[in-house]
Amino acid sequence: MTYPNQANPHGMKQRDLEAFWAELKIGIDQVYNKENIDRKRYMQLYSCAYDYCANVTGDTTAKADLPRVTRKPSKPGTNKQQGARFIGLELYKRIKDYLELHLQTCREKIMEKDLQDELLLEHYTKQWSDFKFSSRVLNGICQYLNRHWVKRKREEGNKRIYEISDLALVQWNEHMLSPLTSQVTKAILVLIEKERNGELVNTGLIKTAIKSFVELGLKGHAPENKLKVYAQNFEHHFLAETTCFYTNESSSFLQQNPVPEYLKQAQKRLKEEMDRCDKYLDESTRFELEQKCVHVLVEKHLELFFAEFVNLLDNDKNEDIGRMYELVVRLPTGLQHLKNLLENHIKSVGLKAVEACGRGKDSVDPKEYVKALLEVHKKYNDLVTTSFDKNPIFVQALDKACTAFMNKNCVSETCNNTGKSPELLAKYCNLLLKKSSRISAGEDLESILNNVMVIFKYILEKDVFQRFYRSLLAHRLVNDTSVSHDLEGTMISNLKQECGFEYTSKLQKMYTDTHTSRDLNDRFHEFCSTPIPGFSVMVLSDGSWPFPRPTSEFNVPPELQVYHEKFSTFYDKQHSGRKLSWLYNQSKGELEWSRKPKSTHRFQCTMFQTSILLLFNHKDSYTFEEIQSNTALDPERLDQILKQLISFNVLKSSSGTEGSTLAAENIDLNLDFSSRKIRINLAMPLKTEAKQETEQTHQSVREDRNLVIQARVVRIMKDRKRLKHSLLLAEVLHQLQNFQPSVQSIKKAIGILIDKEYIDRVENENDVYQYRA
Amino acid sequence: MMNFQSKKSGSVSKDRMIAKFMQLTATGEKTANFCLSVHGWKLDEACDYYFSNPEKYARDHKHQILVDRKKIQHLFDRYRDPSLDVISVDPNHDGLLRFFQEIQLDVYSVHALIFSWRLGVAVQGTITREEFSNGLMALGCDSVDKLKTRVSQLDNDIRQPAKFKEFYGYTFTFAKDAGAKNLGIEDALRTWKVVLAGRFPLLDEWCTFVAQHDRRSITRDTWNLLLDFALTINSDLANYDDEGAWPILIDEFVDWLRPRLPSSATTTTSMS
Repeated sequence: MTYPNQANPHGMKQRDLEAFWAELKIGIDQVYNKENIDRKRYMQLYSCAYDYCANVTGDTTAKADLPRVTRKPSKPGTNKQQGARFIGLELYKRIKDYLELHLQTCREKIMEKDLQDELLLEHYTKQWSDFKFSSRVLNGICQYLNRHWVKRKREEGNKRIYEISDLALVQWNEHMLSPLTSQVTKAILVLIEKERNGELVNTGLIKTAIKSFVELGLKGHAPENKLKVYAQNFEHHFLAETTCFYTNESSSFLQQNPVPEYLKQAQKRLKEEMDRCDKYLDESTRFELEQKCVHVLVEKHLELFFAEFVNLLDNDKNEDIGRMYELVVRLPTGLQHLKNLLENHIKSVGLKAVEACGRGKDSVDPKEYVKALLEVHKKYNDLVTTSFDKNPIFVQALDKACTAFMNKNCVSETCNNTGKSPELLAKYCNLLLKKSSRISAGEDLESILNNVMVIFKYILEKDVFQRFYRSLLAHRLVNDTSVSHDLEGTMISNLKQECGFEYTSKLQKMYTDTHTSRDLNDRFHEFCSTPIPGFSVMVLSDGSWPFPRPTSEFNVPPELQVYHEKFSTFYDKQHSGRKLSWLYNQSKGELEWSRKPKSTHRFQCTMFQTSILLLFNHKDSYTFEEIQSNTALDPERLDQILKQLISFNVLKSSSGTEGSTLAAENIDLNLDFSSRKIRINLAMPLKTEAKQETEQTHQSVREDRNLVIQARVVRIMKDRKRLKHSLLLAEVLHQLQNFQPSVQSIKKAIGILIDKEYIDRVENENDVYQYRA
Repeated sequence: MMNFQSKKSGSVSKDRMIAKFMQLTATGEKTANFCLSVHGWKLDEACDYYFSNPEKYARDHKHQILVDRKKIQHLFDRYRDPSLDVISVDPNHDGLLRFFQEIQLDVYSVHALIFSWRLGVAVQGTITREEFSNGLMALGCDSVDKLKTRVSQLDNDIRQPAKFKEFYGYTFTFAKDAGAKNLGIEDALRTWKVVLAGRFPLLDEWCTFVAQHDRRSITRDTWNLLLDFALTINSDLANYDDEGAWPILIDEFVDWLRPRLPSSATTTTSMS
């Protein structure tokens, strides 16, 4: 081998390089003509390219030097290195020119056939695949150039030098795609439109063509630039085309079809477009494509949707509603309006349901009322679950609507009392939990009680519920009419779960009192040497039960006196220091009527009735005063009780007239009393009492509230010391969960507390209160 | 230049102010000069301060001598109830009425209330010896004539907002029955009509409302807050804050009055 002359190194090499290139070019031709290249040939070409680059450093020492040179690039006057640079550039340029020429030829082939659409795509993609394959081979052959010269250039910051594989892509972009881009894109769009119109098209072609756009984004670019070719040449046009297509389609579709049909169509179209993303579009298009489609298919027709929504609700078209939801949910703002529509709808349906069961009636049947509420709730709870995917916005709409119509409706308006719902709900619970209730046996009480809790959650004035529930529970427990003690316990713990310990503490205490009383009775019977048949006592904790302490006088009948005393002694022994007061008005007894042979009756009586009737064991006729002095009952009450007994035909008055007072009359036992029933319940509540009780309960709740508000204000102020008016209001409203006090009532409480000097206003800041220790 | 000018014009107005002060307060030049300089040459303010504590500012020799404790005691004895050591409205010996007549004070005027406030009268209708002597000392008066002059100037005592507020607060205690916590409606209405006249644009409406209302008495809180309401409210109620901390009676008054305002109806219709 001749060695290059130091004086003229380039001239020497030029000749060799031409030879190398000539050989290499033959190989590259083979590559791009897709001729079969075996391994040996491949290696040959590789070393040829290598030799081309390495030739400049022909002598062996220099070759060994090469890595060192890279490490010391600053060493001046290294001709060899400069030569290598030059040589690299030479080869790089030649390859570049070669590719340009090659692509020009290919392009001309496509152009001259004047191909359109699918055929054009076929050719384009064919060329692309071939070119890609060949370029990969070429890249392999030029690996040495890539690894050294190109790498160094790029490290030096020259971004216009690419690895050969990338160079090939750049050349493709420049000499193939750029001139053809509009044709290719148009071809793709035509195919897509055909597909949208239901024609079967070769999606493989589209996929490859689009992929060619995507792959032209080069490695190592910033992510937003990577898809530049794709975005500029294709995506942009595609999105515009899509918008246009669906604008036309949706408006013409809506002209010919009802909205529900359109919903189906829009849903189908959206799904198709999303599938399109999966099939051949780049993933990056998905978001914008969806946005554009939703805008054209949904947002532009929202007004129409909203109008239809109400119709759908009216006709219970749950599937269509679900479809509409799925479309509108894609818009960030669309749901709010649907939510309002739904809320109003539920509310008006609820109000109508209540009206149907309560309009024009004096008293509403609790069972029907609760049933009506539950039906509406269930219906729309199901709707929200199935059609609205339990979306929190719609759950909220349901809650708001239920709260509205369950608390304020025609029933509550009729009696002008928003506490009507809790009252009826408590009464319904009583129907459920009372023995002999008319709830059919097949129904699962526990699940019905759970339904009750559904409504309970929406009740605003929970304090009213508690008051009624407590008084009805007391009756059930005292009269032993609970259907099941376990269920009573379950219901109490349900309430506790919802409202906390404080809310149910009295109920709980009543419940446990009943249990302890049973034990107590057992022990009492053990205590007595001879058991007393039919005698039982309940000991109720003071303050927990809704019974006022007895104030009226009453003489226990002598017949019972002995047991009365015995129990008192017994209880004193058990718990010294506790004081028993007897609630005679809650006590009951059973009397046997056996005036005529073979005709015995059993009377269930109140204690007061008992005390009167027992007198007649001694003689058959008394004056009013005699009875009064024996029983010590207050005359007005005695009068009522006697009248009731007369109405049962057990007693009769001497004159037999009704209406006026009995004070001047003789009261006789009705010896002719007869009845078909053996057991007769005389212990009916006095008629006037029942109605009054309801009103009284409401009244006492109202009175308690003022105290509750005052107590709460004091507690907050004690905690905060100083608080602005508005913050105090907010805090009170926030803390009081069992009812919603009006602002006026809170202000009233504040006024009272200022007057009582618990709090006062801060000087010169009239809207700030401070706690007075 | 600027300094000179302002000084010159300042001294001219100072002389004028001293003259005016002397005229208003019936004091000597020294007192006037001292009081005005202490209060930054603001005539109104200086007068107010002077009237609220004349002894503090008295600098004229003549003036100090003029207040004679003995004469005040004699004066008290002239009007006092022979059986008690007070001036009272006892019908047999109506010393209070005589006293007021002689010093030319209308019993039903706001001045009578201001006078009572300045004397610190605790119980309506009686002036104790202590109240009388301390009060007159503070007012710098020991004769009927001086009182007459002083009484004619009582309006100045409540010119300052803070002073008026103090005075207004006092009238609650003064007007209510001794021992009662709150002020009866009748007394409240009578007092408001006197005290708030000319200060509360909606006074008539307020009094009509309260008279109709079933409230029997007014709490101190409501009483005090009404002043703030009276002084800040526009007669069309436009600046009322419904969410404010006003006592409930004032809220109810606003609710009651709003539909009765003729202007509000027209403004809302023209708005819509």
